[in-house]
Amino acid sequence: MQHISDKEFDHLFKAGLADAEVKPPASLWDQIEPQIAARKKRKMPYRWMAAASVVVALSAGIIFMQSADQPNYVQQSVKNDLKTTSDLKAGSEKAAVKENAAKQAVDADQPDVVVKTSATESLSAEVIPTPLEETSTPSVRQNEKTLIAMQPLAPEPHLIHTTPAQQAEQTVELAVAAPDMGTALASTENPTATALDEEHNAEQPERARIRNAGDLVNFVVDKLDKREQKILEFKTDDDDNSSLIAINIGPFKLNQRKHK
Amino acid sequence: MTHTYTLDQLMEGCKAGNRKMQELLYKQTSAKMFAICMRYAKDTMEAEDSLQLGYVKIFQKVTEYRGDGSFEGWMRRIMVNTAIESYRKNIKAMNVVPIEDAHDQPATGFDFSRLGMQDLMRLIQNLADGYRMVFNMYVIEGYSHKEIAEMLGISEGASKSQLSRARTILKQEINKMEGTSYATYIG
Repeated sequence: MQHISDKEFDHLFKAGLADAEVKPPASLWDQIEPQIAARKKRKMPYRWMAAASVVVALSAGIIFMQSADQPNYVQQSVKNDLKTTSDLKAGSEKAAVKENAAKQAVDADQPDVVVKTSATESLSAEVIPTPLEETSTPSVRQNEKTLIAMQPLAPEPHLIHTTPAQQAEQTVELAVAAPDMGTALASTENPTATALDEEHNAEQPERARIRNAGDLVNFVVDKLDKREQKILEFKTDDDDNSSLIAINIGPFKLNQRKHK
Repeated sequence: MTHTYTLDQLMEGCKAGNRKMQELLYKQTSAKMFAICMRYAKDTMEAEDSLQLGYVKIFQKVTEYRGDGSFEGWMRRIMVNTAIESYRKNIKAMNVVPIEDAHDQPATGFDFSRLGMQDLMRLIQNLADGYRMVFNMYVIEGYSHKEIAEMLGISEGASKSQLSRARTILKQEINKMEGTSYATYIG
């Protein structure tokens, strides 16, 4: 072999090395395995957090607005909510199915304000078990309760007495969740507790801060989502008619005005 | 012996996030993938790092594999890209490729079939970083100079000249090997 062309020379290497095999050290897999597991876990909660926030925020908003108008529309609102939610995010499908179950529970119950409470109750109960991060769970739950506590009709004596078990559970959960929350929320523990005793005065200071559903959702989202552009933002200037002005779910963004 | 799976079966298992299938895929393919890493890395430690990173990416992205081209080819591309990323990260520390004083001399009178895989591997590993990258990408992986230029962030001309230098150095090294291995026969 006197002379070898570049092509031949390259081929020599390609043939010799393209399918070459070199056994890696046996211990390498043990280092790879934990990395796959860790990354998977980190990915999930964020997606579920987003889905759960949308479900909670929408249902909270709609139920709250309905309570200002006619209580009889509750069933329909839950239905609307179901539709909007599944339109908004495919990821929330699971939650939506469960919501459906909640709706059926509503159908079975009497169409009263109690239904609202139980619908919200089971909704939050269903949403919570999804793998939210531990720290965020109490705040979602807490605020859902806050909403219930602030519903003007909720403290009515006969309604409360129809669901003593739920109220008791609420109080227990609030007591458990309270240490994690700031002072502002600590005071929201009182309305529910006092509601049981049919005393409403403790509600007043909290109402001044969170006047409507939009405020509430903004507050919840603020707790959950530390980005500058929140996953959801409501305009709350117009008292009872809060309107959605900004959404930021990863690639899907909507912002109707410049951020404050 | 346990049941053996085809690569496609393993791929489907990995898509489903099956831990056992992930391990089997690793066991079945890691030797080929490690050979790729070894070709690109400057030492065994870097090759091991690339292999780890590459497999983590493979398991993460397996759901994106749509079946265009073979699964093994897809895995190889991820490995090569991982190795190149690793090279580009390291290059910041030493951005000047040392130019070795090499004269272009044809490899003569040497039976290339005597060169085993390990010899070829060692020859490539001993190349300076830039040469090794370009030679691997062009000769073994079959990238064009344009692609190499884009991936390495160099000009096409630089890719061409580095390839040419790499060949020259390799031939020189082979001649050296020839000298030592035949010394006893030629006298």
